[in-house]
Parts: sequence; C-alpha cells; structure tokens
Amino acid sequence: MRMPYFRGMKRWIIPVVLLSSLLFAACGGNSPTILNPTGPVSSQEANLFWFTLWVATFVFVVVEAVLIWSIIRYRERPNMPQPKQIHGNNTIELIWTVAPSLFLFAVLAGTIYTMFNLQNISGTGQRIEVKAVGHQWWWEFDYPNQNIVTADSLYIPKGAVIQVDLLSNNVIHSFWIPSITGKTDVVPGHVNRQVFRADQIGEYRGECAEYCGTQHAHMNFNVVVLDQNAFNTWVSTEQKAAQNPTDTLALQGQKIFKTTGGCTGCHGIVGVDLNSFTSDKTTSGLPTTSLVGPNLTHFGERDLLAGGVLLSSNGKDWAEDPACQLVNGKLANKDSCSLYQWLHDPQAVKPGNDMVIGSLTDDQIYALIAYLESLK
Amino acid sequence: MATRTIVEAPGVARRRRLDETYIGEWLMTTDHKKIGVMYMLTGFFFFLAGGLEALLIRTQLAVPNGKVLSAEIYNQIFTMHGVTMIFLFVMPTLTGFGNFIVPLMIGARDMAFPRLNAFGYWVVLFAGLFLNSSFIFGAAPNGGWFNYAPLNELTTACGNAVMCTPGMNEDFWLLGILLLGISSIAGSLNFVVTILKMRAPGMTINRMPLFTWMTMVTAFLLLFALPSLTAASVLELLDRHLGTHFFQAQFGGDPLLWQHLFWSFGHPEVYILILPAFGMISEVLPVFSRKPIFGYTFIAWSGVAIGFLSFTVWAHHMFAVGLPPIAQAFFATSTTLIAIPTAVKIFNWIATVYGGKVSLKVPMLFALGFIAMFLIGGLDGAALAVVPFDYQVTDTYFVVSHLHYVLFGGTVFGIFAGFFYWFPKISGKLLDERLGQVQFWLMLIGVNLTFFSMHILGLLGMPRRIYTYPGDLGWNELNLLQTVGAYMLGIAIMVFFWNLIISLRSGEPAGNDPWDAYTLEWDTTSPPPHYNFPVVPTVRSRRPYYDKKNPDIADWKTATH
Amino acid sequence: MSEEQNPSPQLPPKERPAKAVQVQAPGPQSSYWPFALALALVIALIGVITNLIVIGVGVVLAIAAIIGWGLEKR
Repeated sequence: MRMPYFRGMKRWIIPVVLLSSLLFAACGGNSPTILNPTGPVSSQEANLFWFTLWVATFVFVVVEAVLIWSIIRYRERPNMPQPKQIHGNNTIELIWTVAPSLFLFAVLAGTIYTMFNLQNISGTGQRIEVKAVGHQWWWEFDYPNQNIVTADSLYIPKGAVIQVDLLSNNVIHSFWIPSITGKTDVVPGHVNRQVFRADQIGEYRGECAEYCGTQHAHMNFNVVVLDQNAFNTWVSTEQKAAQNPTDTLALQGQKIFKTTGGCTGCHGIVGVDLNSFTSDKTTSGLPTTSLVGPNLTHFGERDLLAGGVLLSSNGKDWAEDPACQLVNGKLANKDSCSLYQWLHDPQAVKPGNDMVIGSLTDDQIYALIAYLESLK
Repeated sequence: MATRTIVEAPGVARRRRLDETYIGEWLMTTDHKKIGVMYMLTGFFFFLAGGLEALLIRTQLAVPNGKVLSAEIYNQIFTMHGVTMIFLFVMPTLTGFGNFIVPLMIGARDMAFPRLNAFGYWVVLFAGLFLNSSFIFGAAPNGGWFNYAPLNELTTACGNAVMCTPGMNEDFWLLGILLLGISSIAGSLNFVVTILKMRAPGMTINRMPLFTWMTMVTAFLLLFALPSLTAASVLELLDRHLGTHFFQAQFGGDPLLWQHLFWSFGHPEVYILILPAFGMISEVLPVFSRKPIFGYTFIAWSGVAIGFLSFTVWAHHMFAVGLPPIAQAFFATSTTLIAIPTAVKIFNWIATVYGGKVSLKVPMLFALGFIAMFLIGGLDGAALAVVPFDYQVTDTYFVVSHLHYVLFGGTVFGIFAGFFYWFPKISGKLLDERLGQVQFWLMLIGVNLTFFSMHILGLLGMPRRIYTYPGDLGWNELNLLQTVGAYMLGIAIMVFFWNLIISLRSGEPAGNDPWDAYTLEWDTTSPPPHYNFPVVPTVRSRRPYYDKKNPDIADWKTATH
Repeated sequence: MSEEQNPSPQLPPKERPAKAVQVQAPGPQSSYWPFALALALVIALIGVITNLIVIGVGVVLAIAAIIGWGLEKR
C-alpha cells in the first residue's frame, strides 16, 4: 500500500502556507482591500475579521492536527490487530458539543455588539446627505441639501458623517466602498440607508457588488475624500449652472450637443436643457424623464466616465487630461484619449450600455471634447 | 409485502417483448438499480458540462481585461455553471446513489414506488436537455443561479430595464427549475416511504445505516423546501407572461419577496446537497478504520437537527439587503446554532479514525480529504455569519471560496468516496487504485490552489460575477493561480473518466465484498441480481453483515442497540 | 465467506429441499408510463414559451399518461 506523500512535519507546511497567504490581503497595494480601513465602519468590520480569523485558525489547526495525527498514528501496518470496537462515549460528546458552542457564542457576542455599534456613527461638521441612484450601469450622486447632481465620483468631506440613501428604478445593485464601509444593496421600491465616515483624505474605489446585468463588472465609482475647505469649494463650483463657452470649437461642440436628437435626448446640463439640477427628478430622487444618461453640468471637473470603465490618463480631471488636449482643434493621438474612445464607439468600450449613437465624425468629436472640457 | 425467499426457475422460449430489447429495457425499467445507474451517468455527464463552463470562466478571468468571452456570453456561462452543477450534477448523482444503495442497505427488494422512481429520472434528463437547449437559441439563463428579481424579468442588454421586452433566458431557468422540482418531490416521496416502511425485519430506525438516515432527512428537506421555490417560480412566470406585478416595485410589488422565497428553498437546498455526502463518508470511514462509526446516535440526530435548523437561517444570504438589525441578529444567531451539530459530526468522524486500523485505499482518501476540506468551508461559513464582516465580504470571491470548499471539497469529494466505494458493487469490477490515487492528489491540490486564494481576493475587494477586472488592482496573480488550479482539476476529472472506462472494460473482478464491509448491500453478488437478495435478511444490530461474518464478536452480542 | 442464514439440516446447499415459494421474474415490472408522463410534462412546460396549443397538447398527453399509469395491470 503506497504511503501518502506528505508525512510528519511536512504536512504542517501546507496549512501554514495557506493561512499566511491571507496576510497578503493586508498589504493590498493598490487593491480596494477591506483590511486597510480608513473610517470607523470599515475598521470595526476589519477588527471583527481579525478576531474571527484567530478563532477559526485555532480551530482549524487543532482539528486538522488531530485528524492528521490519527491517520498517521493508526495507519494500517502488517500484523496489526483488530482495533477495539468502540461505538461512542457520551462524556466526550458533551465536551465537544459545549466547547465549540462557547467559541461560537463568543464570536456571536462580538457580532451583535458591533452590529449595534455601527448604528451610531458620529462625526464633525455638517452631516452630508447623498442620494445614490444605481443605474444600469453607473452611479448617480445627488446632494439634495446642496442642490447638486453629479455622477461617477462621490465627493465627501473628511470627518463628517455621510448618509447615503440608495435608490434604483431598475434592478438591484449594491453600494460598496471596501476601505470605508461594507456594502448595502440598492433595492427598487426600498430606500436603504448607509451611514459612514471617512477619516483619511484620498481617493478610494467603490464598486457595485450585486449582479445587475451585462456590464455589472463596469459599474464602479470613485470616492474623493477632501478636507472641509476643499469640499466647500467643490460644492460651490458644482452648484453653478454651466457657462456658455467662449472658445469657437467649444461653441460648435455645444451646438452639436443641443441638436435635436442629439445628446440632450439623454443627458442634462443645467443652463442648457435643464433649469435646475432637480427639474427632471421626482421628490424621492428618481428620474422622471427620459434623461437616462448622467448629468454632465461640470463634466470637465470629473476624472471618470461610463461607470468607471474609463479614466482620464493622469488621474486629473478631463479638462486637464494631457492625452485629451486639443492642438489646433485636433487630438495628437486620438486613441490614447479615453474620451475620444467613448464618443467614437461607446458600444465597443462597454457593450450593451444605453448610449447607442450614430457615428460621429472625428471633427464632431473634437468639438464635443472641447465643449465637455470647458464644463468646469 | 416483499417475497421472503426467491428461487429462480427456467424461462419459456417466446418472442422478445419491448422491455426485453436493450433500449426498451432501459426506457421502461422500474428497477431501482438501473434507475440509479441512469441518474449517475446523467449526473456525471452534466458534471462535465458544468466543468467545461467552469474552465471557460477561469480562462476568461486568467488575465485582466480578458477577451475570451464577451460579457453577455460570460453571464450565461456563469449562470449555467451554477445551475448545472447544483441541479443537474450533484442532485441527480446523489439521488442515483440513494436509489441504487438505499434499498440494498435496508434489505428491500426495490423502492416503494418503482414507476414513480423511473418518472423522476426521466424528468431530470428532459429538464437537463431542455435547460441546455437554451444555448442553441443563444438565450441561456443569465441572471445568476439564484435569478434575482427584477433582473429576472428583463432582457440582457437593456438599460432602462422596466421598459424592455423580456428575452427567453429566464423562462428556460424557470421552466427547468419547475421540472426539476417535480422530479425531486417524486423522488423524495419514494425515499421517505421506502425508508420508513420497507426496512428488513429487525432493522429499527436506530439500526439503519447512516447513509440511509441522511437520505431520509434530505428527502424531508426537499419536500418542505421545494414548495417555496415552486411558488416563487410560478409567481415569476405570472409576472413575465400574464402581467402580474409580484416582484415589480413600481407597481406595488417587492423584489425582496423573490429573495425570501428563493432562499427559503435555497438554504435547505445546500443541506440537501451535503447531507447525503455526510452519509456516504459515514459509511466509508468505519469500514476503512475497521471499527464502528463513533457516536452513531449523535451523527444521526445532528443530521435531523441540521434539517430543522436549515429552515431558520435563510436570510443569512440577505444580510446586505436592508433588513432590520433585530432580524439580522436573529439570523446570525440561528446560523451560529447550525454550526454546532456540524462540528459534532466532524469530531465524531475523526473519532472513528482515531484508534482504528486505517487503510488508505482511495475511498478512504476521499473521505479523509472531505473532512479536511469541509472543515475549511465550514469555518469560513461561520465567519460569514459575523454580520458586519459579512457586509464587507458578501457578494465577493470570499463567498465563492466558501461555497466551493463545501461543494467541491465537501460534496464532490464525498461523491468520489462513495463512487470508489460502491462502484465494485454496482459493476462487479474494481476501479484502478493507482489512477484513483493520482486523481485524489490532483484534486486535493487543485481544490486548494483554485479556491483558497479566493478568500484573499474577496478581502481585496473583488466582487462576484464580474466578467473581467482591471489590471491595476492587485488581483492579477491570484486569478491566474486559480485558473491553473482549475485546469489541474480538469485533468483530475479526465484521469477519473479514464479510470472509469478502463475499469469497466477490464477492471479486476470485485466479488461480493471487496472491502470487508459491514452493511447489507455487501451481502449479495456484485452486481446484485434483479431481486437483490435471495433471502430477506433479519437484522440484529447496526452492522448486520459484520455480525454475519463475525458471529462470535457480533455487535448484537457486545453493544446495546 | 458468507454462510447460509437458513438454520436447516447440515446438507450441502444443492441437496436441500427448496422450502420457498417458486416465483417467476420477481420484482416490479417495467412500464412505459413514467417515460410518457415525463415527456408530456416537458411538452406542456415548453408550451409556456412557445404556444398555448403546445400547453394544451402537453396537458392532454399528461392526463392520458396518468390514466394509463393508474389503470396499468401490476
């Protein structure tokens, strides 16, 4: 009878290696890891993970060790007698029913304690209320108290309590920012509320975490945590209606934008085809009109588009993206400008999305890029 | 009542009837052994289909921004992978084992309702073909295996969901599921009646083999869980075709209703998928440790406890949907409770091995591998019950890891343990031991290579059901590693099928009792005759065949049950 | 390895008188009704995505199969 290959000490290597690989998750690097928390919600959730991991590892090591030892110690050898035909032992059954129960209830206590703690998040400054609307397949962010509507990027001030009400008029999505908070589903007909606080300035990845159709994989968003002053500046910029451009090419772009059957069929810009940010929404915040695309009023200030599937090339705003700078009314290398790629063929970038447009000529696209970059 | 003793008499020369032709024999059979074999063959065929779907998924995810599958096709493939593996592989295969083995184990000549048995099988075959025919129409189900509303009411590439005309994809899912539910209910009725009414004289409930116990609990679970799924599917069909609005929020319906109904089935379903495997290894471990199962009563009754508790935990699949905290605390508690009987079983299995004379033949390797892998799956299942942690990792690869550890490391290993154990009884030949060893080690390494690092991916923020991912999030190496592991598993399955083919053709003859086993199915020829036993045996303990072979140290002389 | 459970006189098996009732082809008989009913049900459900008529055909066949099943001589 062939003996198993991993005997004795070597067997310990396998569980040790497997478990220590979990530590990779803490490094993360560029990953949206849950183990580098930057707010009280995610840090409480991460702490529970570490506690559970210790308990689980302890149980795993002990039980696997007993199993492996039993196999090795009692493996069949020549002339080994028939073993004692033991049917059971009630005392030991009691012990090993009670012991795991104690571990499990300890973890359960931690669970319930944290659950109720998470109900009370406090912060400094003004509480920011946001309505996050899940579309197929992009995120819209409305700030009812500031009278702003934006998309793809969620700007919040550091240290304040953020209250996000989740809305959908299509399918179920899920709002998740791994480094800041666990996820909450966005269910049509319900208004789920996620409350959190971000304690570190920076940009963090957000994701849709409930399968919502073809392009679920490309429904991400960006959370930009600013200090209070920078946030206030952002708010006041966003609150203004769009200015008419001065540049000729940008004016041409605006004309294309406003053409009947053109972009205004799906996109709103305050001052162009919208009177105010909320003139096309119900009181709850869901869209009432056919304006199914994102509000583009201050598009030039953003750095993400199409549900996060395209980013500006240097992490800065579209207005300053070097790959999308027009020289003499043209792009030097059009294929390296994501905005060009999107306007040229949105279906090739994100198959199945709602932006189904006829082909635009390169000149038309350059004019539109000029216009969109002017929307600051 | 079954005939006590049978003596074969010579036949009379006449024309062959339809049921005596080769095809007719199989199309019209009501013999539990033939039906069991058909279930198993069908199950293994769909295992290959589901495995191919898995390899397609892993190939697409091997590198970031993969171009192997489009989003649309990927979404159909991952949905069908889940549906095929659960409903067309695991359930039919476990039913097949139950069908073949349970009547033999309890000393019966067949199941209580032989025609109903055959009916259940044919429905599974037709449902599987029907579901997979959807690929031909380019409309395979694409809403995920649990098919949430309102996505399930809509077509694929449509933005403003409610305004679109539904495509056929989800109809295939709904109708296929309805058919499979009918089959499972028929089969479960049969198992319950057979096990309760047709045991051999002397075989009380507390003396029947644990595989029979677990099959019975599973049958009850199916009977009570399927109504929820059937109701949900019918309501959904009404929404899609007759203009009702059960799951449509804008007309006063509620998408969460689907989730509650589905998971009221879905949670018992996962225990339906694992309990028979628990039963199988409870048969293999004692035989290959040369001592009785430790704590028979505790294993049997913890199976019953798991069965009852499984109806109280369903919303742990819904911790992120916005249920009130009190409700979430309740489900966290019930989920914690259900971990206890499961732990008790694991300890009893290890205690069976401890102090024994452990023979590491292939069935035992898989049974031991089951314990090792299921422990991991169980521990991370308990972790998922930690609600705030679940908020972070639900709907991520952490859950994908958990479910594959319990389903592959658990159920599939259990199925292979059972298969290598009972194949000699079914076919009269032994499977090749060396090829079995190769398969086992490839699978053990492959399972860990493929699924362990998915825990890490979940912690690193990778959601489930995404057809691709960007290259700058630190997910690339682990995904590639997992694809390598998946191909290793594919090779292991090829080794298995090779083993099956050559053993069927020229395997070593097994004889009645190649493993020196303890239960009644071994007390007849391999394969058993049409009537199973010449003489219906009388049973005096939990190990009737052991007693017969060892009358001096028989259990009924030494133990008190 | 296995011995006869029959506590009869110590004659070798071949010479012992047969104490049993002689039964020809024991066990449940084959039947085509399960296959027929399964097929009928599938046809009926396929009708949900094709045509009402197909549902009707399936239902009629299913009823016929159930009646045939019930009346079959066993």
